[in-house]
Amino acid sequence: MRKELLNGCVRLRITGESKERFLNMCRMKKIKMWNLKQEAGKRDELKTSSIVMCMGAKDLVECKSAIHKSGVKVDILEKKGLPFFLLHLKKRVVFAAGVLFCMLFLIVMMQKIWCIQIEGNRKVTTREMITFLEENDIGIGCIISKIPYEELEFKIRDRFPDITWVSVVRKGTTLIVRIKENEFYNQMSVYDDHMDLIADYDGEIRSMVVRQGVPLVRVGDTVSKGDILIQGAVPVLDENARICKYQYCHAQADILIRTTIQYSETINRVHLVRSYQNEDTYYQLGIAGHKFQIGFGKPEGTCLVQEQVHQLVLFEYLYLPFFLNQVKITPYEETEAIYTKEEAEAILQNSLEKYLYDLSEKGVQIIQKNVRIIENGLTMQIVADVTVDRSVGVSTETTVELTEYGENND
Amino acid sequence: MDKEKGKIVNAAVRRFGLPKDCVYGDCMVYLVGNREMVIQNYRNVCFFEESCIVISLKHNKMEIHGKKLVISYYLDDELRIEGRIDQILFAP
Repeated sequence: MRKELLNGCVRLRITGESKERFLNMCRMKKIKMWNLKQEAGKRDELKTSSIVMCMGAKDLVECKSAIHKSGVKVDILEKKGLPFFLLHLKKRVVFAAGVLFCMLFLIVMMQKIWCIQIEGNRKVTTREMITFLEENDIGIGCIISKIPYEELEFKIRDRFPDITWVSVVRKGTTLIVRIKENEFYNQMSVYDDHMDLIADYDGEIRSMVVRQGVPLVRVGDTVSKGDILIQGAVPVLDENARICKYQYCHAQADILIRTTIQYSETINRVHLVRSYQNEDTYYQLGIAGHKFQIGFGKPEGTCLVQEQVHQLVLFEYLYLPFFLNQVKITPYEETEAIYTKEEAEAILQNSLEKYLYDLSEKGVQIIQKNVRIIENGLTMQIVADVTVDRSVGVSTETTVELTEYGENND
Repeated sequence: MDKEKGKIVNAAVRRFGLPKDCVYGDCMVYLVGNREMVIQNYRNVCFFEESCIVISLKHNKMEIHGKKLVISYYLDDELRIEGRIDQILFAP
């Protein structure tokens, strides 16, 4: 059927006395005919019915002699296929040229990348990744056939050590970079031996549960930042109670320390207040980096500009370099205003409350807080001494070594 | 002479299992229910109407009676008839 449509086919009505003779003569010329049926209700002068059938367009030319010999009358009812379509298009040259141009344009556009998507990133920002790709000549508008996928994957793993798996694929005109970051990086160090636990804050030890290692402090002791709390080298004594060797481990403990955090923030009571006016929207058409504005221009004075970019996409991954930017402009005027004392105090208190809330979210227990608000002309400062109980301990490599039998250099 | 020749041919077909359509020049008819019919090894179409199609074979004629009979395709070596086939008659 496709071949017939490609070469063109016609539907004919055959009338006359010797229709069967005509069919047989066509068959002898090896002309293919199909869908032969008697036409309902139509009879000619001699009260014989007509036959409707289909044949190839080129075959109709060949059966002219058969038509003449059999004396039948042939009427063309319908013409189908590419040759007739092209003939019809001859009257619509511009339309056909437009369709052809669009197809060629699409084919040319599909040779380049017009969108880059980064998936699976948390620590590595999308901007960072795109900047890295641009440094390696991979960006919007780069040619698809020149992208070295495997080499790019190696370079990404080299550049970002936190990334454990990376995949660079292309779908349509979109380059998709999928990454998996190492979530257990910090925890892997737990399995390293030779690690002491040292204090990262000053304070008083409130509670201590040692899981591994030798504790060098007790509950109630005051420690300073950098002091060793738990030693990762467990001494092994011989029968004379001398240290003969050390068994190294990764010191682990849950230690709570009471410490004081100093919080301070200053604000200026003089501030700028914006009064916004009516919002206006205008559109920009972007084609491959160039922008063309539609509508009125940007008003004078200061204004807040919000831009939303829509890129043309056919199907799911076939992005094209056509953009429609919706730009919302809100002009505003700034005037000076002064916070009252109460307003400024409220702002500073809110800021402190937020800081304390963030601390408690991290598991820090707040015991006491001493808050002072200092007024200094047009500035106000909040100073708070917050006593908290928090977990302490940072792992570092132990420095304990057995140099001679019975002695150590800690 | 023809009778004797016929006897020899029949004997050869029986003895050696030769295909009868090739030896006798008979037509091959494939029927799908009473809806469809494929015919091979025919001479030509003698008469064609919605209710009756007459096809001439090598030795006789075949009349197909039915309703809404349509020739789906008509090729050099094969033709297919579709429609409701009521009767198939072989006439001399």
